[in-house]
Amino acid sequence: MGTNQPVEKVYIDTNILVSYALGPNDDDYLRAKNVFDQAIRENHIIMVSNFMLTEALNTLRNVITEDKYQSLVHGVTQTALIAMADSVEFKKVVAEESMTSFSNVVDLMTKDAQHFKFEENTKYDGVIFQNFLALLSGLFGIFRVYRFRCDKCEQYNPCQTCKTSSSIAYKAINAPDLLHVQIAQTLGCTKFVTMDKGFGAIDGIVQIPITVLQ
Amino acid sequence: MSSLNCKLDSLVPQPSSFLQIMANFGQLIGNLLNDVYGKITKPLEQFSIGSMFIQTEEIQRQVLGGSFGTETFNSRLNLRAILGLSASFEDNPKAIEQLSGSVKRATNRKTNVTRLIRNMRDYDGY
Repeated sequence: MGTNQPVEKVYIDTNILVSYALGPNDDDYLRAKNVFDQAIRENHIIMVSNFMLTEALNTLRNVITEDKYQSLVHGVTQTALIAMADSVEFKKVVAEESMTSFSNVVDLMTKDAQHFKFEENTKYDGVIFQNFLALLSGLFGIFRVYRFRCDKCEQYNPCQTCKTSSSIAYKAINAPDLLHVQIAQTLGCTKFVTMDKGFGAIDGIVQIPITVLQ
Repeated sequence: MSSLNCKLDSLVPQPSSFLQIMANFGQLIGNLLNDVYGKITKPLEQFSIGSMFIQTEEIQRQVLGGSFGTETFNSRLNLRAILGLSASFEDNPKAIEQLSGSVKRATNRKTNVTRLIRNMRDYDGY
């Protein structure tokens, strides 16, 4: 890489950061790792937005809650779950573990000036939401059919009452997705990288090139 | 009350006037002491603990901020302050590698964060 070549400023989606920090426990860890390896190899700057960090904290809280749920024995009753959800101790454990993890991530990123850059008093144009609306008006997502699946044992089972086995849902790029893209553009990023295939629908429509990791 | 009475009141010292004199005297002494105290302590102010703390932080900002670049250093410092992380930190270009799997203890099971975030964006959080 020549020294005069402009530095690539890459905006990473939240899924890439959290997957990388979670390590091999995440299904997509290796794909996420490639982004960071490339940043090291080619001296990319990874732009970190406050919105992405906010979402990362929320994701870690979800990950840890899910982990606690999955660690329960099978056959756990609703009453037992409600008691757990209402307990101060459970809330404290999830809050502390997620905050420790999140702080650890931020601690490391803020120490690395060569690879990470953070927002500094960024001004956002209110017109961005108008642009979202215009963009969404011209797009239509897809319908997807999902088989009913138990969140606990992850087995697919039809409803015992009505015997229906699946549900239908409308899936499309939505407000938070577009907000990430708009932030990336405002921060002057040259590329938006995500592991979410849904972003493929707007690649070429928005200004910033979108890379969906396969 | 006649006008004569009024004049006499102003000429003859009243108990309230005595108190007023004492109060003025007290204020005078107070001002004098403040002035003396200020003259003694002002040259020492730069050595006070609070001031030294501010100076240390400023030096730290200049030294560490220099290696990060002032703008980016401030944004990092603000972010760390929100999370209660130490204001004293050094540039570490290897941190990006250390980030890999740094919070693996958060879960003992296989996760799919991309799917989780998709669900959050679609249903839960918005």
